[in-house]
Formats: sequence, structure tokens, C-alpha cells
Amino acid sequence: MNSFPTIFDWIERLDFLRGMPATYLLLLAGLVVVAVWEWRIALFALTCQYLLAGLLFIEVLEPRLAIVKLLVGLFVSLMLYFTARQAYWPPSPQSPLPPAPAGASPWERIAPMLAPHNLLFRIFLALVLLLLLLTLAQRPGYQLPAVPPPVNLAIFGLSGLGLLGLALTDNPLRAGMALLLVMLAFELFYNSLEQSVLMLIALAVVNLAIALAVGYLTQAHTRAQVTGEADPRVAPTAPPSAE
Amino acid sequence: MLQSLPALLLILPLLAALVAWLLPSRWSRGTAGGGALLLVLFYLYLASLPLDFSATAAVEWELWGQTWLLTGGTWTILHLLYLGTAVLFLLVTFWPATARSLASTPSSSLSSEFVSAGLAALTPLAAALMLPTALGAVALLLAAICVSIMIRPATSAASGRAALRYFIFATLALPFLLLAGWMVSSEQLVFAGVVWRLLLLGFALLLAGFPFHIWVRSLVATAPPLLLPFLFGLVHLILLVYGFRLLQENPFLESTPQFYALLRWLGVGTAVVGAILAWKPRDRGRLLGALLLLDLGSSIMALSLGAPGIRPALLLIHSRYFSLLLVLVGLTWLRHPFHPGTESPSAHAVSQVPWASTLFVYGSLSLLGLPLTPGFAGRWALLSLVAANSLWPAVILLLATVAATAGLIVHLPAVMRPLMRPPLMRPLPGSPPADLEAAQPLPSPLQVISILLLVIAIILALFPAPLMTFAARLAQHLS
Repeated sequence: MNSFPTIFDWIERLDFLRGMPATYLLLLAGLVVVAVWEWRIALFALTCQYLLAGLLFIEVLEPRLAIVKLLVGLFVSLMLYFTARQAYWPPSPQSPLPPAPAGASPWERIAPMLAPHNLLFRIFLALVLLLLLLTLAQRPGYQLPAVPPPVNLAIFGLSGLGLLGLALTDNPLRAGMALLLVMLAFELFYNSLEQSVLMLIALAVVNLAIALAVGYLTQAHTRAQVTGEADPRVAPTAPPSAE
Repeated sequence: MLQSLPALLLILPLLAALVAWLLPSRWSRGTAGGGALLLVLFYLYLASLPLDFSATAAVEWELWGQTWLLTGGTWTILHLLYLGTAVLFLLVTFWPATARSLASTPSSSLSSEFVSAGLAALTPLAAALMLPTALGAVALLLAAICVSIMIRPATSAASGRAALRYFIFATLALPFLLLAGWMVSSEQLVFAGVVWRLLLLGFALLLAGFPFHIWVRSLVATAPPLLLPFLFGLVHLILLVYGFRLLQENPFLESTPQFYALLRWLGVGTAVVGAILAWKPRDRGRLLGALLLLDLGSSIMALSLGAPGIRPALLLIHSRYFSLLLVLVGLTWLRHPFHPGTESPSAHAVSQVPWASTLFVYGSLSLLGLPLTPGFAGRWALLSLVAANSLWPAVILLLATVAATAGLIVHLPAVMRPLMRPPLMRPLPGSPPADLEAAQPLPSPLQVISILLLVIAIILALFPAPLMTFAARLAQHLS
């Protein structure tokens, strides 16, 4: 009789991803979080990132503790999903991505999600930063203590991408996701130094508190836009024509 | 009963916050009154407990697998926290308008949000005080800040941006402080240079030091004034106590004078930025934010003095709470729309506005720490201590105070003008009844309370000895 696979079975099955492949995929997901404007894609990338980070946590933590990190990450993603769903769905003219006009082709509906006007600039910045950090992380002087090389690279890459994301946006949801990248990088480093259960719980609580605060700020931001208080830095949009 | 004290301190405010959150918002005054009553009763209960800190330095408990510690100093700080919050709740109960935003756009009152979030923030703040090491406390402080940022109007994009910045900076402080704490606890003092740099960055992010101060002015300009004494008075008190504890737990920092020197210059930089910004106020909120920055810089300077700085820091925080209370009451009164009901509205203007203006201006001057205000005792104590250590920071702080005072005097009429005009007008004939109802003179009890507050402030300014003795005793407990 087949039994339900244990954590160790899953680790064995995903063995081909452990180490550098997980790091590269993690950085790719981080790049998507920072560069892509559409919240569903960015949130999906963040979720993938927590799954891949789980594989890296196994390198520094006992697997039963690493699974706690994974579960907290998934819970954070779920909280952000419900927040964004309430705040940005259905798309309104105030949404970061307003609804496509009637009669638009499928490509015209999808394209704005993938390629906002500054996507290329964001990708360029993120790639330059990643290149710089990859170079730095491989130098002996920049090797963090008690951290294996794939985790070292992930820490540098995620913290750099997170800080870049924070610098590029003032949307609470996007800034929150970027902040979570920084926190993930920090946890990868900190948990390789300190494995006490108390700190594990404290960091889990901090992650959930961050998700809660981001959720509140996102809802408040959307409500401010709906109630129509003008943001002085944004040019006013033309009122919808009464057809 | 004493065995369950930490559980009571940690669980009761959280439960009360949950109840306050579940109550309908139309009962906001009742909720605030209930919250105030609960905190006053709790304060009286704590005061009646037979805890003798003169016999034992600290009382320890084991709860949830964790040791909790109460010293004479933290015990007094807890009392102040509950009492200070109760005063703010009482203010909301009798004067819900104090929970409205400073921004010019009208917004709904935030009284119920303030009560539930204020009560919820008390739990992590108390827990941070009672943890035996400062290492784990930083996560709890972050949780308290996360809860505190929810007390702001949801209708203002600018307020959201300010809260987001504060939240980001406070969160970014966590990794630096945790890493420094780990390095110290694992006795890796060979990296002492890294530790003090991490601590310095962590303090700058957490205490709004230059250049991480950018959220302060916009938060002050857009948040409800009631949030200011809570956030910059009570929460900041815990942050500063945390800072002093961290310094005391790391005596190796004594041998790194550059840490204290840089921390002092960080405070000087923040104060100077405050003085410069006082000359560029776009509105009254930003002017107040600039003055507050100067005061925040002063408290960072007090932190840089180590254990001797605890007394001036406590004096500064106490007077800041009181000054912000004066400003809050003055501003709310100034914004109160009233219908004189007489032939000469200006007669009312003459009799009412000067009191409100005096409260606002006196509170602002007290934030600057000028003589004959409650803020002077703390600022003078700080200046004399800093000057004894190194002259230049003291001189620059003095010059910054003079510059900010000049900025306040020059720009005050301009930023006060919008407040002076509309409320003094009689409602137009045919205006909706709701407006007429709102346009009432400020009730006499509120006027009496406000004027009483001003009188207390003046008495405190003229006779600061009791406050100074209290701060000295508390500083002795904390060091």
C-alpha cells in the first residue's frame, strides 16, 4: 500500500533542484517579482520563490524546521493574494493595470500585464545588479560565514533585488513583496547562524506581521484612490465619458 | 496571582483590542471610554501589587518556556505606558475630533481604530520590555510598529506613503540589530567593528536618524494628531529604553568611542535637518514635523551619551509627550467649526482662538525646548551633558534650535492662516442642517480641560523639579 510521501521523500524527489539550480531559479523568480507589474504574476513568482527557498533552507536547517519556513512563506503568499484580490479585482481605472478596452484582442489584453512601459528598464537594472552581485558573491572576501556557496549567492541576489524593488515603487503591495525578498535573504543567512526554535518562531511572526501590515496598507491605498483623493505626484486622468 | 502577572500583561490588552475591534464603529466613544477605564483599572491593579524592587533587583517568571523579567525601571515604564495610553483614550472619548487627520481633506474619525490598535500595540511593547535580553525584543518592537501604522486615515494616499516608508525602515532595522545581537551573544567580539556599525545602522533606521528621517514630516502632516503622542511619545519611549538596554548589555562598545561619536553626529544631523526644514514648511503639519525632527535628533544625542544620557532622554520624551498633547488639543480646537449665534462672529473669534493658538504655539515652543516651556528641562540637561563631552555637537544643537525657532516665528502666521478663516464664518443661509449641527461652539468642559492642560504645562515649566526628580529616579532604576 502506498503511503503519503514524507518530507524526506519530497527532498529526495527534488534532489536534482538542490544547490545552484534552486539558487538560479530563485533569482529568476526574484527578477520577475521586481520587474513584472501584474500582481498575479508577481505573486505567483513570490510563491515559487518560497518553494525554492525551502530547498535552500534544507542546506542550513534541519528539514523539519525548513518546512516551517516553507509553510510560513506560503501563508504569507496566501494573505497577499487575498489582499490583492480584494484591492485590485475587478480592475478599475485606478488600478495599476486598468481594464482593457472593449473589443481588444487577446494579445492586447495580456501584453500590458507582461510589458508595462518601464519593464525593459526594470529588467535592465535588475540584470546589471544581479551581474554585479554574482561577481561579488564569488569573490573569497565576500563569502558569508557558515553559509554554503549556493545560499551565499541567493542571499546576495535576493537582498539586492529586494532593495532595488523597494527603490522602484511606492505601491504598498509591490514594496511589501520587495521587503519580503530582503527578509527572505536575511533569514537564509540568519538561520544558518542561529537555529533556535524561539528565533524561528519570532521570524515567522515577523513575516506574518509584515504581510498583515502590507495587506492593510494596500487596502488603504486602494481605498484612497477609490475615494478620489488626488495624489499630487500623479497627473489627473480624464473623467470617463458618459456614453 | 503574581505568577500569572506576565500572562495578564501580555494577554489582557490583546483581548481588549479584539473586543474593541469587533464593536461597531458607531460606538467608538464608548469603546474609547471602555478602553480608558480598563487601562486605568489595570494601572491601579498593578500599582497595588506587592512588588518590592528595593529588596530584589528583578522579579523573574517562567512562562511559555521563556523567562520574563521585571525590574524597577521596566515596572515604572509599564505604568507610564498604560497611563499615557489611557489619557489619549480619554481624550478620544470626550473629544472624538482629536482622532481626525491633520490633512486638509476631511476624513472620518479614527477613534475605534485608534483604540483597538493602541491596545494591541501594548502587548508587544510590554513583552519587549520584559524579555531578559534585548536580542529578541526587536522583533516584538517591529510587531508594535506594524500595529501602530494602522492608526491613520485610509483615505489619504500621502499618509499611506509615509506609513509605508516608516514600516520599511523599521523592518530593515531588524536584520541589522538581530545580526549584531547574534554576534555579541556568540561572543564574536573579534568582529567588534562590524557589530558597532550594524548597531549604528539599526539605531538610525529605528529612531528616524538622518538620512532615514524622510517619513517623519509626511506622517506628522497626514496622520491624526492623536497618533503623535502615542507614536513619538510612548512607542518612542520604549524604543529608547530598548536602545539604552542594548548599549548596557554590550559593554565592549565602551571601548569603541567612534560608535558613540557617530551616534552623536547622527543626532546632530537629524536635528540640523529639522532646523533646515522648519524654514520650508508647506503646511502646519510639516512645520510640526520639522520641530519634531529636531527633538528626535536630541533624543538620539542623549542615547549617544550612554548611561548618563538616560535622565535627559527620559525628560525629553516626557516633555515631548506633553508638548504633542498641547499641540493636539490646540489644533483640534482651532479646527473646530463653530456657529457663534451672535451678530458679531469676530467677538467669538477673539475670545476663543487665542486660547487654541496659545496651546498650539506653546506646544511647538516646548518641542523646541525653549526656556519657560516644559521641554526646557530635558533640553538643558542634554546640552550641558553633551557640552561636557564635546563642545561642537552642543553648539550645533543650540544653533539648530535658534534657527528652528526663527523658522517657526517667520512661518507661523502663514501656516495658521487657513485655520483662522473658514471656522469663524457663520454658515451660509440655506446650508444643510448637518453643517449647522456641526457648527457649534466648543463645549465649555472641553475648553476648561484644554486651558487646564495649558496651566499644567506652565506649572511644569516653572517648577520642573518633581519631573526631574522622577526622571532621575527612573534613570537610576534603568541603569
